[in-house]
Amino acid sequence: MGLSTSIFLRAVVISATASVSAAPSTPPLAREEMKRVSAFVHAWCIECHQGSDAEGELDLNALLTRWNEVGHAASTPGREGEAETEGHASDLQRWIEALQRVDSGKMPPRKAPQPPAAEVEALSTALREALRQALDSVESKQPGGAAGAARGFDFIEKREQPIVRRLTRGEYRRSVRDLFGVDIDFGSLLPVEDPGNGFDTASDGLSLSPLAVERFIEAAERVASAVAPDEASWNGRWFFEGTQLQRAGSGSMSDGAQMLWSAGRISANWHAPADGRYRVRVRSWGQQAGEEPVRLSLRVEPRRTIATFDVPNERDDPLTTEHTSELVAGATRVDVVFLNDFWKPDHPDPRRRDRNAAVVSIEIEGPLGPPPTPKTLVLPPGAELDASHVAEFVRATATRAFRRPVEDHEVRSLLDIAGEGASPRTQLNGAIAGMLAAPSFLLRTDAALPSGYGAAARLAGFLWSSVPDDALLQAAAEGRLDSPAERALEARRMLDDPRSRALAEEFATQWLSIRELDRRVPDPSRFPGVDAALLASMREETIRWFDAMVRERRPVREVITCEWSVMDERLMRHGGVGRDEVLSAPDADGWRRVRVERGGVLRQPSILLATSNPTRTSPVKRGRFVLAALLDEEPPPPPPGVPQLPADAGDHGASIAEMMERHRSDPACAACHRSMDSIGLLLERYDAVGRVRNAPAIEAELPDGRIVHSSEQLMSALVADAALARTLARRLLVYATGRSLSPSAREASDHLADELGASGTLHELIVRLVELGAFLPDAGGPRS
Amino acid sequence: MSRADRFIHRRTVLHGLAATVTLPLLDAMLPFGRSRAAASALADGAIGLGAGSLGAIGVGAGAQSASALGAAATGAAPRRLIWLFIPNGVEATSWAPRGNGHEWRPDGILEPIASVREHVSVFSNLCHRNASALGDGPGDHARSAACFLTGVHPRKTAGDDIQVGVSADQIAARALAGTTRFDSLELGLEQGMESGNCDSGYSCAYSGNVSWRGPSTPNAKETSPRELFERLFGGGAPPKERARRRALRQSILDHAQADAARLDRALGAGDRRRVAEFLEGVRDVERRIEAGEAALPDPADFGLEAPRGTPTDHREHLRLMLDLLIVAMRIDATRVATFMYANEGTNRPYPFLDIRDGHHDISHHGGDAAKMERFRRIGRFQVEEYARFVQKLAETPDGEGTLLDHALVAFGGAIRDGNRHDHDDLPVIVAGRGAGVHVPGGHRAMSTGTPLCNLWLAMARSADSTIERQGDSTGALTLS
Repeated sequence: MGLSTSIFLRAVVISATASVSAAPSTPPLAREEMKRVSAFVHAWCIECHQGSDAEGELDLNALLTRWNEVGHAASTPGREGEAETEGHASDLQRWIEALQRVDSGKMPPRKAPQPPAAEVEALSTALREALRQALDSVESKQPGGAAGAARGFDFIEKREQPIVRRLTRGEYRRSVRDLFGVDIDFGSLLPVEDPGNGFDTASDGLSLSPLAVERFIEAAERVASAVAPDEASWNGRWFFEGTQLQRAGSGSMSDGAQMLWSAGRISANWHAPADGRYRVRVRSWGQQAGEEPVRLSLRVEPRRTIATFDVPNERDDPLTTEHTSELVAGATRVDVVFLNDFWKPDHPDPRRRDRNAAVVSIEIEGPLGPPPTPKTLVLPPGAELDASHVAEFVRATATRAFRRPVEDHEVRSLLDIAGEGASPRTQLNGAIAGMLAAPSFLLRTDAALPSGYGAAARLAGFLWSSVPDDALLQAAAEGRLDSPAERALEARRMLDDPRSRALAEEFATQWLSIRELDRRVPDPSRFPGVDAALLASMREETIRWFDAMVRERRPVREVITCEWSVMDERLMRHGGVGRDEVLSAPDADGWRRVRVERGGVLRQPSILLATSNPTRTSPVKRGRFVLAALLDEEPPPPPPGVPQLPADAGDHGASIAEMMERHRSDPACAACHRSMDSIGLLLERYDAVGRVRNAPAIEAELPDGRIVHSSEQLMSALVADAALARTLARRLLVYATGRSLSPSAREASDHLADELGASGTLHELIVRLVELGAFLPDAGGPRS
Repeated sequence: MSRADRFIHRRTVLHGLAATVTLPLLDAMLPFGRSRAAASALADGAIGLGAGSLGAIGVGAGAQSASALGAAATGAAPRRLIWLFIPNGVEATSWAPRGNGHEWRPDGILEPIASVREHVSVFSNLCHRNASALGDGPGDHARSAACFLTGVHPRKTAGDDIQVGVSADQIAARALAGTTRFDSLELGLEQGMESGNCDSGYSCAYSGNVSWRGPSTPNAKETSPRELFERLFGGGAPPKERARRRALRQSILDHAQADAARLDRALGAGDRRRVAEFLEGVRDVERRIEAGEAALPDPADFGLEAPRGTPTDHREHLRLMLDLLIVAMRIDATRVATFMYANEGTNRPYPFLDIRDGHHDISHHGGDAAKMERFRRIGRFQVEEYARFVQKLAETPDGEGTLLDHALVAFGGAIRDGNRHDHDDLPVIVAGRGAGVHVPGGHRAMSTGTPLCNLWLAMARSADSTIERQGDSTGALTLS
C-alpha cells in the first residue's frame, strides 16, 4: 500500500470516527421540538426526575440523552438499526405517559411550583410532534415495529378532535319531556352509560353499539305512539266470546256462554293500552228466580265498579247493555260480577228455585274519540288538526330537537316518513318517530353546529340536561351567545327555571357518587329498616338540597358548613330529627326544610352510605371521598394484592383505628393513608347508614399538612380557602364540556374559583363558568 | 323479484313443518355473498374432527358441494358458541382438579360439575398474559375483564380514548353474520358501573363488558329479561299490525341514514366514529327487517309469557336470563352469546347464599378462613348455575340431537386467585360437543403458559375455519 493510500485510509478512519463521536452529519429527529421539551423539563421536572433514584423511576435526563443518541442513530446511515431497539420503544412509551400526566395536571404535583398553562400547552404541542415523528420513522423502517409504543399514537392524534357523543339517558328523557310535554319513564329500554372522567357526559363509553341503536329506534317509535298515535293504532276493538272468558266461581259453559251458579265473576283478560274513554258492551242473560231479576255489575281492575244493571232476560233473548267509562292506561281485566245469587230449593215452581247468570260476550272499544296530540302542539281554538298544523309543529319541534335551524327538505323528509297519502295524524306520528331516531337528535355534535348553536346546545345540556328552548335558540340565531355577558344572562334565566333541577339530579349525584345508591344493600341484620325506600329518600335529600343551594344562591362554603337540609318523614325518623327542628311546612310530596347539625355533604346519609361497606363503615372510602370530591386530591390507587380489613370490625371506631395502624406502620402505605385514613376516622361519628354515634377524637392530617382534631375543625379547614371552589369549578366544567380539562381550561377555571372563593355562591360560579372560552365548543381547534 | 326477496329464511320453512326435519342447505337459503363452497368449508368444521363424533360432518375427504348438502342432510345443525364470565376470580385452593382425563375428581368449588361431567373438559394452565399489569400499575379488574375475550392489554384511560381489541365472540359473530336475526347477544345481570371511580384510572367500559365489536366499541349488555323477551318475540301484535310497523320502521331508518350522511359532511374532519357506529347499528336493524320478521315465533309455543320485570333475587334473575338464552338458541335468533354473572370488580352481596358482605371484599380475603369459605360458596354457586345451564341444554332437542351436542359453552374468568390477582392457570370449563369439534375429556392439563386465546381460537374457528389468530394465541387448541 502506498503512502497516499494509507493516508487516505487513515483519513477515512478519522473522519468515520469523528462522525460517530462528534456532532452528527444530519440533525437528530425533531430537534427543535426536543429543545423546547428539554427546556421545560429542566425548568419544572428535572429536580425530582433524574438520576438512579428518580421519582417514579422516571429519569427524564437519561431519556433526553438517549433521545439525542437515537436521533443521531436514526439519521446516520448504517446505524438505523439502533432506533428500533426494545429500549427505544419503551422510552417512547415513557414519554407518552409523562405527557399524559402533565397534560392532565397530575404533574408537577400539587406541592411543587406549577408551570403556566401556556407553557404546558407549548410543551404538549412540541412533544406530540416529536413523538409523531419518532413513531413515524420507526414504523417506516420496520412496519409493525415499536408496536408497544405505537399504542400511544392514537392518544397523540385523537386529542385534537372535538368529541361527538350520544345523549345520556337523562338527557334523552328530559328532551322528550321538553319537546312533547310528557315525562316518560323508559325503564330499562335505553342503553346505560359507562361513565368516564367521573361523569356520564364525559365519556368514550357513550358509544353506539347496535343494541343501543336498536333501543333508540324502539324508543322513538314508542314515544311517537304515546304522544301522537295515529288513528289505526289508537281506536281498538276487542271481542271476547264465551270460551275466551274466565270464570271465577262455580258454574259451567252453557250454549257458548259462561254461566255462574253462585256468587262470582266472569272476566275478560284485557288491559287498557292508554288513558281514555272506553265503551264496554255486555251480552248476558239469566236464569230467573225469586223476587228480583239477575243483577250484575261491571268492574275494572283495580277494583272499580263502572255500572250495576239488571238482566231480566232469559236464555232465548240475551240482553245487550252498553257502558262507558274513563279508564287509565294499564287498567286490567274487565269483570262481570254476579251480585245476587239465589237458591230456594223448596219453591213450588221448579223453574223459579235457582237464580243464575250467564255472560255470552264482552266487547270493549276504545279509547273513543280522536287520538290525542302532543301537549306542545297548540291548535287555534276550535280548529281541527290538518296538514299545515302538522308541518308547522314538525318544523318548530325539529329545530328544537336538532338544536339548529332545519331546512325545508328536512321537514319534508320527516313528513314523508308515514308514506304517500297519509293522514295528518299519521304524518305527525311518523315525523316524531323519525325526529327522535335521527343522529341529529341522538348525537351531541356541538362543535359542528352552526355558529352560536353550539353554545346553545351546551348551555341547555349543562343546565337542563335537555334541548335548548326557543328563547335560547333565538339568542343563538342572533349571534348573541358569542358574547360572554349574553351567555351569563341566559344562564341566569335558565338557572331560575325549574328545569335546572337537572343539575342536582345529574351533576350532583355523580359528583357525590350517589347515583346508584338504590343498588346498595346494607346488611339487613345489622341495619334493619334501611330499605330501598329509605335509600331513595336519602338520594332525594341530596338532590333537593343541592337544587336549593343553587337556587337560593347559597355560598360554596355551605357545601360543608350548612346547617339545614330537606327531609321527608322517613329521613326524619331515620336521623332522629324531631318536630322542633322543622323549619317549613311540608310540600305536596311531604318534604320539608329541617335544621340539622353542621356538615353539609359530610353529614348527608346518602354520601355516608355510599362511602361505607354493606356491614360497616369504611374510613378509607370516606377519607378518599373528602380528598377526591372536595379537594380534588384523588389519591393514587392501592398497589395490587392488598388484603382488605375484616367485615366484622364492628361499629366501634377504636378497633377500626387499630386496624388502620397497619396502614400507617408500613411506609409504603403511609404516604397516602396517613391523610386519607385520619380524615375518614374523623367521620366515624356517622355509622354505615349515616346515623350519629359516639366516636373517639382523632388527630387528622390534611394533604397540605394542616392538622385538625375534630370533624368541626375539618370542616373549617375545608372551607378556609378556595380549594373547595376550585374542585367544584373543575368538576362542573368537565361535566359541562364532556371531556377532561385541557391545561388552559383548568387554569381559567382555577382562576375563576380563586376570585369567588368559598364565600362566592354556587349560582355565581356556574354563571361565570359559562362565560369562559373553555366552555364553548371549538370546532377544529386543539383541545376543545 | 330481488335476491333479497327470494332469500328464504330457513326458519321460515321449518316453521311450517310439524316435525323437526332438517332440510338440505338450498342455495337460496344461503345468506348474501356466501357460496356453496364457503358453506362446505363451514360444514367441514374446525380442526380436530373427533372420530365417531356425533353427526359426522363433511368427513374431510373432498369438500364437494354434494358433501355440503350431504353434511346438512345428516343433521349438521348450526353450532352455537356461548361464553359465561365470572368476575373476581375463585378461591384458588378449592379449584384444583386432581387426576387427568376422565379420571379426574370434581371436588371443592368444582363439585357441582359432577352432574354433567360427561359433557365437559376442565382446563388447567391456560393464561392471559395481557391481563397483567405490564407496567401499567393498578386496575387489574378492568384489565382482566377487557382481556378475557380479546386477549389484548387495554389502554389505560379513564374515558377519552378507550381501546382494547375485537373479542372472540365477535369474530365468530362476524363470520356467521346474516345467518340469524341477531349476530350475537350480550347478556348480563348488572348494568353499567356507578359513576365516580372505576378501576384505578380505567374507564368503566372495561369492567362492564367482555364483548367488543371493535377495539373501542363495547357491546352493551342486555340485563332486563323483559326487554330481551321483547327483542326475541316482538310485541305480540297481529301480523297486519306488524307489517305496518315494519314499513314504518324502514322509513324511519331511511330518514336516519340520510340525516347521518348530512351530519357526516358537516362534521368534516371531526370525529365521525359515532356516526359510523350509528350507521352500522341501523344496517343491523335493517337486516332484521329484511329477514322477514313476519316469521316471529309465538312465545306461547314455548310456554312462555312476557316476564313482568327484573327479579330482585340475583339467582332468579340469572336463571331467567339463561332460560331466555336457551329459548333464543332454540328459535335460532342467534348463535353467539356472552353472559356476565356480574361486572368485574363487583361488590354485590349474595343474600340467598347468606352472604352479606361484598363479593370483591370477600375475594380479597387475606387468608381469613371465614372469608375464604364465603368465597368458596360464591364459586360453587357460579359453577352450580353453569351445570344447570349445561344440563338444560342437554335436555333441549335440536335437529338430530340436543342443543348441547351442537354448542360450545365456555365458563371462566380472567383472574384465577381473587386474593392474589394472578392470571395463570385460569378457571376454565368447556361443555358441549360443538357439532363434533369438542370431545369432552375431563381434566385437560395444558402445558404451562398456554394462552387462553388458543382455546378461544379453536372455538371461533368452528364458526370460520379461516381465522388464523385471536388475541395473543399461538395456535388453536385441539378440542377433540
